[in-house]
Amino acid sequence: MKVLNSRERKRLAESLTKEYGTPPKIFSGLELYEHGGGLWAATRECLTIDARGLKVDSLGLQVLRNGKPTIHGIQLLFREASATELSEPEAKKFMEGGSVECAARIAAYGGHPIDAAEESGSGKRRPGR
Amino acid sequence: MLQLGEEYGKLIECLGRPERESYRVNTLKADGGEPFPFRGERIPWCGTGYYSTARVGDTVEHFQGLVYVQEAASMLAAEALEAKPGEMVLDMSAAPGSKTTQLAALMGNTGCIVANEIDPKRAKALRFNLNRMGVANTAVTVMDARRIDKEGGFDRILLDAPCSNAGQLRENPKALETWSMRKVRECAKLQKQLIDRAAALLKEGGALVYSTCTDSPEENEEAVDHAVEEHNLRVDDIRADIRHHPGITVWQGREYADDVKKTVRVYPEDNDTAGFYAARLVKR
Repeated sequence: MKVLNSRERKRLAESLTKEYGTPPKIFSGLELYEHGGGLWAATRECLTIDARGLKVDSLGLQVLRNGKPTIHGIQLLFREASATELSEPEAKKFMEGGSVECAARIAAYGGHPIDAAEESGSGKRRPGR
Repeated sequence: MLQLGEEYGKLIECLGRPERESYRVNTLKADGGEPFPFRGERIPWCGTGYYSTARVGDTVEHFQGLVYVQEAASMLAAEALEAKPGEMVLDMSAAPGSKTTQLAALMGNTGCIVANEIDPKRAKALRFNLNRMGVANTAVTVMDARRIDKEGGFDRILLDAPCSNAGQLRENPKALETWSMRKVRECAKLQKQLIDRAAALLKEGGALVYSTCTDSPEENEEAVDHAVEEHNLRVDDIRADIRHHPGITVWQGREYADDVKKTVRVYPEDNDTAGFYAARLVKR
């Protein structure tokens, strides 16, 4: 397990901004750590827990998998991002992996990010996350 | 099951009606006052709880993790624990994560909740729900809670104990088919063992909430009486706006500690919910 330092967090923010066209909110108050090919967010108290006497299975929330944000990562990283607002039928279709028109990479419903499109314009969700 | 006397008719009438669906707003992602289209009446004992006017589980808001479908009476347990931001909390029997995600929201995703589940399959459902709700302040452990070895390590502990489920007859009438006195006795034995462990794991001055979804005194007041008699724990009041009956102090010739009256018995007909029991204990 490797915890990201401030320089690595900054680099991650730059890379996500470039990819999604909007600056992410890099979890103020949470640590980011690499584990098993993914990036996870957890509180400092969870990361520093004395694991003796506990069978710890996972710590915190997975936000990136193979370099790409998970659905939950998108929702938290781009909480205040500019996004394409979908109608309810569009959001349901998108949620099920269907295609909808989506100008921005981030698709939202009710003002809350729902997921990221494969690329802007195509509007299809990345499968398998 | 407990003999209810004149309450029996009200209970039977209530059990004949379908259970009202309810949900909590996930304040880690959404504003508690957000006017979701399915929002119904507010649940008085949970600041973020509402009854729903439509099915919530299929909505986009549910997918987004803005809401969590949860039985209304069961929202009492996490509220009664009064967990604060930054604390070290243990949820001894956490899956599928209803109360853990509620605690995480109450703590503002700070501190640490050790969310334990003995069954690896149920732990998977727990992780799924923690992710969906954006919870980052949990360490999920998969083990028998009676083996957790961190004495005096927790500010607060939630023990939503495995039970005979008699309070869930309204949601699941088939629960009656698997209910037996033997099951009650087995659960009661396990519950006391879990209380013994919780008492050791709690810091001095820390709080333990013990809850079940059954009305069997053997699994409720008897467990709390055991906690008070065998450990340095005292019963504390639960400050919640919920219609309820006090804990009973005499059952089948056995007398329980008088303070057991402070515990909360929620019958289905009290608030039109499932049956529930909760006790708040503080370590001296």
